[in-house]
Amino acid sequence: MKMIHWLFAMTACLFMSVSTPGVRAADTDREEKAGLKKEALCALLVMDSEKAIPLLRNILDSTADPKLKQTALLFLAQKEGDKAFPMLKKIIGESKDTELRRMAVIALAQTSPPKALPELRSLVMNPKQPKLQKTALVALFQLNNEESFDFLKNVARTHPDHDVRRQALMFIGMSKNPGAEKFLMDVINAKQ
Amino acid sequence: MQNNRMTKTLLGLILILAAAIMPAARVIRPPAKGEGLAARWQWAREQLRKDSGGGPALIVYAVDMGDLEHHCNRTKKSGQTLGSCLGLMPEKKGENRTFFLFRFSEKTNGKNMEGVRLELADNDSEAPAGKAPIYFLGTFSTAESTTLLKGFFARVKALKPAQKLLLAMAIHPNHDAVVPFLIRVAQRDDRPKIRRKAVFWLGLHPTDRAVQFLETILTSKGRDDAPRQAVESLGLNRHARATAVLLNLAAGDRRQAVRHDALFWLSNKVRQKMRAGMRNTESKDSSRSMRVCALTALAQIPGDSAGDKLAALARSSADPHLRGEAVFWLAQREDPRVLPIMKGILDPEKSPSPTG
Repeated sequence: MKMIHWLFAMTACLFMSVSTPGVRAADTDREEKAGLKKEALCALLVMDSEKAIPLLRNILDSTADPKLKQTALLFLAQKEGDKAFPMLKKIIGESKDTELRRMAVIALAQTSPPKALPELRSLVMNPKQPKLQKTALVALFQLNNEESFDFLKNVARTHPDHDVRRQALMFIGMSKNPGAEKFLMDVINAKQ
Repeated sequence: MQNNRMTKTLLGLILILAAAIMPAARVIRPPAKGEGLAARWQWAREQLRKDSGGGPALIVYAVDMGDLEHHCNRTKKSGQTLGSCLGLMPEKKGENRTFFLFRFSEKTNGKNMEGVRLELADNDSEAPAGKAPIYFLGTFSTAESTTLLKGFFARVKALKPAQKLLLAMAIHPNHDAVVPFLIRVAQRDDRPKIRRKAVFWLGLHPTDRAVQFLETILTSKGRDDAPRQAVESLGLNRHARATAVLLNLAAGDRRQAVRHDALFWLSNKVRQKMRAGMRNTESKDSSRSMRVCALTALAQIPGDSAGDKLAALARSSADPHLRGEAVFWLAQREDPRVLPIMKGILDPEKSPSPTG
């Protein structure tokens, strides 16, 4: 029975990696195919997650489909947990695909919170990549622990970018941290 | 030799300047002066038929709206402005020209105005693209303009052009002509969407008659959504009585949706009032904007403690902007403490009525 599952998974993966060069498919057709590929990925994970990991890595390295790449990244991070940290860090540092990098930032916070904090801090303080800066702030908010809350407070007080400061304030308001109210009141009552 | 070059450069500059000031060649003006808008419109229609068999062309006229804020496309892109294209001098202080552009195409049936596209623009809007001739009729009074537009509205059956004409009528500040028109449309037009729009546009006219009519909608047995539309219009209306009506509705109307909407529009009025005296630079001030943002974040925290802090800020913050925001967010939480605070700020007894 396991053999049948494995064969099905291989077929699904083959289907995902097949491209159709020279054929310009209609948009709907392309969307349908992308949806099918994603479903095949899900099926693969449900059936045999251990064997799915090398395939997911393969898809992440070789597919040209950015959406599929992102899905593979999320699944992989979910499956590997803490082990995915070096891969995510590499994508954040080296990938040219901004969306994939953003996805990696979010995945980083979800999979290995303790290791993620210093990475996220340095991303928030890096003004050269404003899109990643804001995503890192979202990821920090999702960490939802005392250290991330302290860092959000620090960002709200001292970050050079006004928009980042404002965003940090909003996340503080949503954080459910008992210290949020007092901090916000301090900002409101601060002397001009 | 050098003098000769200087003269040529000067001549070139003068020519460029003249080209910039002169109206575009495709702008055609009526020959006779001193005629009213209706007569000039007739002239343009006949001319258009003779020149191009009905279109494509534009008939344009301007109205000075005074201080009234209106909803035109103020985003000027690159290129010539409408005002300079029509050869008009720049607006003086207190002048607020609004242009009514009627686009005719080959398919246009001028008799019932079907297919004529009406656009609103201002002095700084971009000049119309293309080579279609522009018949510019001149600048007219609001009374002449509303008379012409009323005539067009009566002939239009299709929904979209009728909505545009209604908007064009509504932005005129001569309440005596516009308010009875809008009320008549709100009561008698056979198109429900047009009736709704007419109710909405009454919000632009702060007069007793407009507010009285909106009050009758609140009490009459009609469509279920009619009272909420009337509340929206009262929310936009700057008349002191509109505020008083909203305060009563928020305090004790039996319909929950009406109470909720009244509270929302009142909180908007408070916000506007508290920002009214503020200069643009003050409202964009970085430290204030951070404090306002912190207040918005505070408002997202559920529970009594955050509510108490918002209420305290709404009652006694020294910064009017912050106070207005606190009232707004307290109202969004439907906190019962907000209504007395709103009453204190809006106080319709003391607020001057904008017009009779």
